[in-house]
Amino acid sequence: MLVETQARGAVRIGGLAKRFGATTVLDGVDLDIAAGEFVTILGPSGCGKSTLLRIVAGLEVESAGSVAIDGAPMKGLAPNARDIAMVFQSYALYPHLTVAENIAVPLRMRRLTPVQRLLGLAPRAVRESIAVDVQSVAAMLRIEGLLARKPAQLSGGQKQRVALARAMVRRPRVFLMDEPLSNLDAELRVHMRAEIAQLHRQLGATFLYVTHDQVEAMTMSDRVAVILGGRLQQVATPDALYRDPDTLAVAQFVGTPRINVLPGERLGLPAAQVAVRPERLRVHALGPSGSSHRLPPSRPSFPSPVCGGGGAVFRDGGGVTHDLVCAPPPSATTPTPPPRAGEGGPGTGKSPAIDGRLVHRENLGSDLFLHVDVPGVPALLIARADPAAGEGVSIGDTLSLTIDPRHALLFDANGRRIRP
Amino acid sequence: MNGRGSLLLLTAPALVLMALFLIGPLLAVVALSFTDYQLGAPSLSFVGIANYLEMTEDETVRISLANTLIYVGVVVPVSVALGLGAALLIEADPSLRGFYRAAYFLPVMATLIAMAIVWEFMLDARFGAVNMALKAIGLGPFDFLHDRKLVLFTLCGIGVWQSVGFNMVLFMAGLTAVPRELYEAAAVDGAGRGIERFRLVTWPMLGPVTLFTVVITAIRAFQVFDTVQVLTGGGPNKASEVLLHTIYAEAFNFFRNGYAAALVVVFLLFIMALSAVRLFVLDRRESRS
Repeated sequence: MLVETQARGAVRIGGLAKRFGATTVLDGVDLDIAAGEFVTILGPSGCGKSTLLRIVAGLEVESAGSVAIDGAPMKGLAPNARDIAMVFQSYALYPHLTVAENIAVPLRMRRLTPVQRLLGLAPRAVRESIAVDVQSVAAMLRIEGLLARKPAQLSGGQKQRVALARAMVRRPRVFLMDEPLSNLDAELRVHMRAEIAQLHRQLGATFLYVTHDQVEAMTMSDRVAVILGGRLQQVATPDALYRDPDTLAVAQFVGTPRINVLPGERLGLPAAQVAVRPERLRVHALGPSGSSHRLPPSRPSFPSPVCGGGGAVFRDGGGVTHDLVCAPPPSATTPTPPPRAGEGGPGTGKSPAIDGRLVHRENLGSDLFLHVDVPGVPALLIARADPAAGEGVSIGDTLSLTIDPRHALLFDANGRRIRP
Repeated sequence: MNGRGSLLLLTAPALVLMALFLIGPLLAVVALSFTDYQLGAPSLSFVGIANYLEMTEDETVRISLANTLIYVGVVVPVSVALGLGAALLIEADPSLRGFYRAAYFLPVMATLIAMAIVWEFMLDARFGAVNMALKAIGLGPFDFLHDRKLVLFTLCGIGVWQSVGFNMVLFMAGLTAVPRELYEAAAVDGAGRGIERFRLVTWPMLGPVTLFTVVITAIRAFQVFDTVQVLTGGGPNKASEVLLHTIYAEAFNFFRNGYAAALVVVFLLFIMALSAVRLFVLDRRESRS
C-alpha cells in the first residue's frame, strides 16, 4: 500500500455476522475505521460488542462477512499474524513471569526461533534488542521500577499498565481493548482514561475500544459505534451521538441519566403539535404571568418539540394520528417552581408541564436528579434541578415538570428518529 | 466471651476428636514401637530402640523399603504424566468427552481387590489375555506375576492403571481453572497452539495441581498393599515385598506388634515428609502472592 508507512491500521468490517447455533450474536455489522482513529464500540453487556472485537482479533471465527486491515483480508489468519495487540479485561498477565518477562513474550515469540525458545538460548544481539524495547516501553508507561516483580505483587492499575506495555511493545497496527478499565476503581478509571487517550495520541495507532461505560466512550473516542442486540445502531462522534441520536434505543443508552420517554401522539391539525398519551395525563402550560392554563384532559398537548413553538413540521394527510415517542433529556426536564413561591418562571413561556409525585432524589452535588412518577407514563421521569433549588422538595411531594421542547427528541413507533 | 475463650470453645470439638482418633493412637503406636509387645501377650517390656536397630539389619525390611521406593518412583511419574496427557487430550476435543472421562475413571472406582483377580487372569502365563496379545506380535510368554525380575513392574503397571484416572480428573479440574483470557493473550502474543502454548500457559498454571497430584499419588503409592496381598503375597522370594505388606505380615502373621509398630513409625515418617513438601512449597507460593 502506498500510504502504509504513514497511516497503518485502517480496519474495514463488512457484513459481519456471528451465530452460535440458533442465537445470532452479531447481525450484519459494517464499520469502517480510519488509520489512527480511536473508535469505541459501546453497548450493554451481551450485545455482541466483545464478540466483534474478538473476531477482529482472530480469536473467534465470523459466520459471515469480512474483516480487512489496511486492505488485506484477515480471513483465516491467526491472531499473531494480524499485527494486532489486545488488552483484556482481566489483564491476562502470565502469573509466573515477571513484569519484564511478560512484556517480552510477544518479542520472544517473534524474534526467536522455536528451538531457541525451547532451549532457553537467545543470541546476545536478540536478547539485548528485546531488553532495550522492554525498557523503552516500560519508561513510556512509567513502570521501570516494577520490571522485576510478579503480577501478583502489582495493584490493579499497575497490572493494567503492564498489560498495555505488553500490547505496545511490538508496535502493532491496531490496538484492541476489551473493557480494560472495568476492573479498576472509579478514581483510577478516570486517571487511566486520560492516560489511554494520551497514549493513542502518542502512538498514532488505531484503537478499537470496547466498553459498556458510555462515559469512557464519550470522553476518549473520535467516534463511537453503538451496538444493541447484535446490530450496529449508529456510528458518530460522541457529541453527535448525544445530541442527534438516530434511534430511541441509542438515545436511551447514551446519556446519564437516561433520557425520558413520553408516549405521544401526533396531532395533524392545525399546527404541528404533539400530544402526550394517555389522555388522562394532566398537562398544563404555564402562561407568561405564571398562571397555569390547564388543557382539557381529553387532549393534552404542547407544541411540537422539534419546532419549539408551533411551526408546521408534520404534514399528515387527513389529521390521522400516529403513535410516537417524545423524549426530553433530564436536562430539559425541570421542575416548575410551585406557583405560591413567587411570580413563577417568566422564561418558561408556553412550555408544557406535567404533574407527578417525587419518588426518589439523587444529589450528585452539582446536579440534583428528581425521579418523578407520573400516572400513565410507564417509566419514572427524571428531572434535573439545581441542588439548592431542590432543597424544599421531599419524597412524596407533587411536582410540576416543565419540558423544554427545543431539546426534546421525537421518535416514531419503531423507535426511529423523526427529524424536522 | 473474650477472643481466647471462644477460640478454645470453638476448636474444642475438633481437637477432642483429633486427640481421640488420631493423635492418641499415633502416640500409642510410637510407644509400642519401644516395646516387645506381642499380640495377646499378657505383658510387655520396654526395649528402647532395639526394634529400630533390628530393622537396620533386617533383610526383608531393606528389600521391602527398596521395592516400595521403586514402586513409588515408577508409579508417580508415569501415572502423573499419563493423567496429564489424558486430561489434555480429552479437554482438546469435546466429542465423547464424557465417555473418555468415565472410561479413565472406572479403575479408580472399581474395588482393587476385585480388579486384582481380573488382572490375575489377564496376566496368566498360559491363558492370560495379555500374553495372548503379546504372542500375536511374536513376544513372550512372560510370567508377569511369578518372574522375580518382572513382578514388581507388573504391580507398578497395575498401580499406574489405577491412578491415571484419578490424576486425570485432578488435571481436568486444574485445566478448567486456567483463565480463558490467558490462552487468548498467548494466541495474540504468538503462542496460540501446541507446545508453545503449553509451556507459556498450561504447564505453569497447572503447577499447584501438579504438585498436589504428585504428592497424593506418592502417598497412595507408598500405601500399596492390596495388589501385593492378593496377587503375589510379596513373592516370589520377596521380589514384590513392600513396606505395608511387611508391616502386615509382622503384625498379623508373626504377631510381633512392637516391631510392626516401629515399622509403622518409619512408614509414617515417609508420608509426613511428603506432606511436608507439599505444605512447604504451597506456603512459599502463597506468601509470595
